[in-house]
Amino acid sequence: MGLLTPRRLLHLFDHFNWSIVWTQRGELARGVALLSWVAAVSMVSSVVVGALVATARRSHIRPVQWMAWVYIQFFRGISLYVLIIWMFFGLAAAAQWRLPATTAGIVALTLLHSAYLAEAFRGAFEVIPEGQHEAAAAIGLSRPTAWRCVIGPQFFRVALPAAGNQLVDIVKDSAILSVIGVRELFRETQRWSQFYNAPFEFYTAAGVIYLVLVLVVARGVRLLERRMRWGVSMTTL
Amino acid sequence: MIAALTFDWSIVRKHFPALLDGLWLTIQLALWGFALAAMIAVPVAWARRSRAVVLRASANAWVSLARGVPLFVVLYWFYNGLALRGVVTLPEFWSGAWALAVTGSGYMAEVYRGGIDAVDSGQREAASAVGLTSSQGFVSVVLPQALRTIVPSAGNVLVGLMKGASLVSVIGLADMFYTAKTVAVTDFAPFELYTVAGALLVLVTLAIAGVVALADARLRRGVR
Repeated sequence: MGLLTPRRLLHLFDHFNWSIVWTQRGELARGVALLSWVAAVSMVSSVVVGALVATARRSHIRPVQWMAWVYIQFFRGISLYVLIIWMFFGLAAAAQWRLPATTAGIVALTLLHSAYLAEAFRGAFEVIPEGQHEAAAAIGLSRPTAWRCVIGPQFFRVALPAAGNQLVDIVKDSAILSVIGVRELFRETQRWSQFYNAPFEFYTAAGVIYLVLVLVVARGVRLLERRMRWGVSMTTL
Repeated sequence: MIAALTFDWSIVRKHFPALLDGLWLTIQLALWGFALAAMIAVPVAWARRSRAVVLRASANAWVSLARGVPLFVVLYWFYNGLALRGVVTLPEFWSGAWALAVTGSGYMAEVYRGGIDAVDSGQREAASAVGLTSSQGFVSVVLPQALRTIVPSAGNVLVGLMKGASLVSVIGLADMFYTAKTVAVTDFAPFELYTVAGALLVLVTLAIAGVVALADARLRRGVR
């Protein structure tokens, strides 16, 4: 292990070649575009599947409940890297069923994050007291109306922060799609850092880009949270 | 579909010792990463609660950085970026451990903060009312109560790092997936070993989650 002498630390700052990163801005931007698309599709599908699994988890039919439980435990236990490799290489070899890399990646992201989201949804649902459902029924609200005006606002207030963290993680996790050759931001970073032999510059740049994307998504979630809270006060008026 | 029906156990049997070695490496990495993260996070959490703006801002920046940059990027940054710059040449294992430590420290700082915030401020006031200094009050009144929240959340961070540690084969560390990758190429059997390796990892993470749930139940017993 090399020691971090002052001289070496100084070396960190000489002849940086950030202009190399800038010359590849087109390729990196294309990577960001693919990343955004993958992340957006995975977010939507994870929320949908997560809601379905959470509903199944609350089902009155025992086998359905158990299946949802197994789904949640399994996909929360596995790591995305393993899931992606297994789906892309393993299934392809075993079942002769080769998904396109991007599709395989989106499916893997969805399976994993929907399990976490299902737990977040279930947790949010459980903090709503039974009395709220009963009260809504007692004043004669139909089930959809009860959801819209009574249950929904309370549900989203609790569910959104947890779900928001998961959506942010989808952006970060999409980097793992690079291992099956999806040319998103990280794959492009690897390619060009090798090509120019400038890993410090490229990986630092990638880190900054990911950080910005993550902060943007987190900001969006926070705005949504604020809107939801505003909705609550309006309906109580 | 034929290959799926004939799961080749002989390949698994042949490489099982290598898989177990790999699993042990993953566990070691995760534990080192977690230990380092837990230590780095202490001053970070402290600074986030500090009254000095500069301290607070830099601690917040660190948490955003650690949680906002994918582990994959951090891993490559430590292993390739720093090394090729000739600054610090870390061996693979420590590149992995430090990458896990950096990412984990952001999450652990949040865990500490959440745990301390969850303790009612009346507890601190009561401690000072009975004549304890603020550090005495923290150690003997606030901290024991904060630990009830901190332990289960820290367990979740450990599980997360365990799963993150499964990435390290990309920088050439011989973990389970490195073995699986090698065998996939030499024996053309990617399904068997990846499946078994994945199952082993799920077992370990579920075991940790189980231990955490037990610890959580034990810690909660004292409250009521």
